[in-house]
Amino acid sequence: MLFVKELKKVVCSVTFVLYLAVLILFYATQFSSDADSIVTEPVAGRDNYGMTETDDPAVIISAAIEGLSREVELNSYVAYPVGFYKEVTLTDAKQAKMKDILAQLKERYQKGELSYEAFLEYMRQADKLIGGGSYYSDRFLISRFGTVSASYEDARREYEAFVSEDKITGAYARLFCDYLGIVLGIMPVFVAAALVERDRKAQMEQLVFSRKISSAALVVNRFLALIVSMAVPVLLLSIAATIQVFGIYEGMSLDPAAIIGMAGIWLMPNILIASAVGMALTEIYSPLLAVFAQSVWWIFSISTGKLTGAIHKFTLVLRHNNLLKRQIFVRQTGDFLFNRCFYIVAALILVAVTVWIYEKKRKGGFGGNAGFKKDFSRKLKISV
Amino acid sequence: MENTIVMSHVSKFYGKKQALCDINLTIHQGMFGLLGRNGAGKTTLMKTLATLHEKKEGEITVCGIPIESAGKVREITGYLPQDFSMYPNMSVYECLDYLGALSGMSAAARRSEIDRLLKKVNLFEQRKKKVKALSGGMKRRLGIAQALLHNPKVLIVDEPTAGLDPEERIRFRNLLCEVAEERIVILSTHIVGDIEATCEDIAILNEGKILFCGTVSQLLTDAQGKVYSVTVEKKELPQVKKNHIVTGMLAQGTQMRLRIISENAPEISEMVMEEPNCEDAYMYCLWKNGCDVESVTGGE
Repeated sequence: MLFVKELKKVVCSVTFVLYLAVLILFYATQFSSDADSIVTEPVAGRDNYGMTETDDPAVIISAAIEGLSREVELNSYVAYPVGFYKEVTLTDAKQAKMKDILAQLKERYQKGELSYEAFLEYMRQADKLIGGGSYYSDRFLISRFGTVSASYEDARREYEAFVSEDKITGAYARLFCDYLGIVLGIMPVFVAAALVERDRKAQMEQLVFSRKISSAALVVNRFLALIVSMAVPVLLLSIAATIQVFGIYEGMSLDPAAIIGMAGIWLMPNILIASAVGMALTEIYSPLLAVFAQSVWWIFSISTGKLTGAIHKFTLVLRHNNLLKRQIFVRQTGDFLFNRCFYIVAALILVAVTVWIYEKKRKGGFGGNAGFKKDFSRKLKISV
Repeated sequence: MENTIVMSHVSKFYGKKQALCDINLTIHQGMFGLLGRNGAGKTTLMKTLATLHEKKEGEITVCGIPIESAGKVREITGYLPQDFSMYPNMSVYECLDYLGALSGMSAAARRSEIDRLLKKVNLFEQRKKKVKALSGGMKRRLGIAQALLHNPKVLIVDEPTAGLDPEERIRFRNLLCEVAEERIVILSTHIVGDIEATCEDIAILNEGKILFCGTVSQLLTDAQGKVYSVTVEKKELPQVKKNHIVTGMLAQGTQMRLRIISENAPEISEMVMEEPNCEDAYMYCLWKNGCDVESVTGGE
């Protein structure tokens, strides 16, 4: 069976061993050590119960106006337009508009005429003036301005959600996926690119091209081999994580399928998309392009600075580095599901593109077995 | 299904450069030699037949199947490219097993056929050896085994003996002749000796055009009465080269014994007409068709 042969090729490669090493290392040093710190029931009468996020409009509006006033005064606005930190200074014209927005906000707020919807509209205008990705964007508004000191009741609520709604393992599932999602946003591209490049490197392309098998069957078998080989270690680690959490919370009611299930929904799309990018770009040009493109995307994705609640429609690496804060995740469930479905569909489209490219290459297109690189270089020479 | 490859008015371009120009060929069962210089278009033609290149114009049918039906053509075609290797860390058996799976062979068929072919190409003892540990000759034999694995009706071998030592070359040629008994074998090469030793039907390709298509005997007949042995003083050599195609030279003291090709009998006193060999006939064919052979023979 071809699938088994491709699977063997993947797991016997150096890049797969590297993938496995990084995955296990990340699990052991990040998740496993975090998992050991037990979440305990809050005790009444303490001074500090940490911070919590609220969606109370009064809190958010007040804090946002205060924050905007500070930034307007300095004409220095923090933003993460493409994931990286940036300080934006507005032109005089834009700064004047921003001052106008702030003045209107303050006036309507003081008069008690500011609805939450109107406030959100002002925030959108402010964010647009800054260029997007500012604290006033939908992405940061609540986490930046809705963070307040938690009360005993808040802590109690969080704990009860942890125990009864998450059944403990649900919370650990998010932490597990948070850490492993970082690895799975980048490492599969190396394994996929190496598998595709192997034919070219071994001078075996023409032997493979001239066989009876259809391009679709070959590419799909290779893709499935990549997915299965990289998903199995994740599955085993999710079982290990479940056992570890069961050991910590012995005697409590836990959901045994939570970590495994969440790993499937959260992490599989990461493996799918990174593998598909690796296959497609390596077929089109070279493994270096595939690794470079995925790396840039991955760096942008993990550089937003947010560790909890970094779940948006198109984020590659989703973050929820917290055993509590269930309500933030619940609030983002829609985006989370859209995101994961989007990447599954995108990966399948890329696989279809890979099939098309492979078929073209088999008939001499894209530089044939010499690759697009050679074809491109030749065309360049002709045009010169 | 007829065992014939028919090419009719086939052309192929690389950008603006024409690699194949109005090729018309019919190839029957047995060994067929495709002879030509490096860059003549042999590999392009081989790859086109192996469905690895698309033609621009013309028609090709392989055993009655149009070349456009690539999947069906691949099913009945075995291809040994000029430059190839296999996964270096796989064993000989594993590589063949993998390629057999890509050809859609069942596990049982692969097992029996791989053993049979490895015995045939004298690699059975090396079946567990890693590909990277094989010699050049062994790799070529492994190449022919992979091309024959799915028992194709057509075998396309591109420059198979390049880089092999004389013993391996002879062994390889004999192997090709054996397998040609039951299928079409197209051998592309620039080594005239390989063609002479194995093929009855040949074509000579130059700059993408067919210069000759027929039997080796016909090629030799064309060159009959055009090959001479002459003995000249060394100082006369440049003049001889200027007027004739020199295909052999042997220094004998102050004199040179030359083998030359000439349309008419050369006006040299010590001249003997010779029976043309394949190499002479090939050179004569190129020269007759206006190809630049002086650069090959060292003429001005």
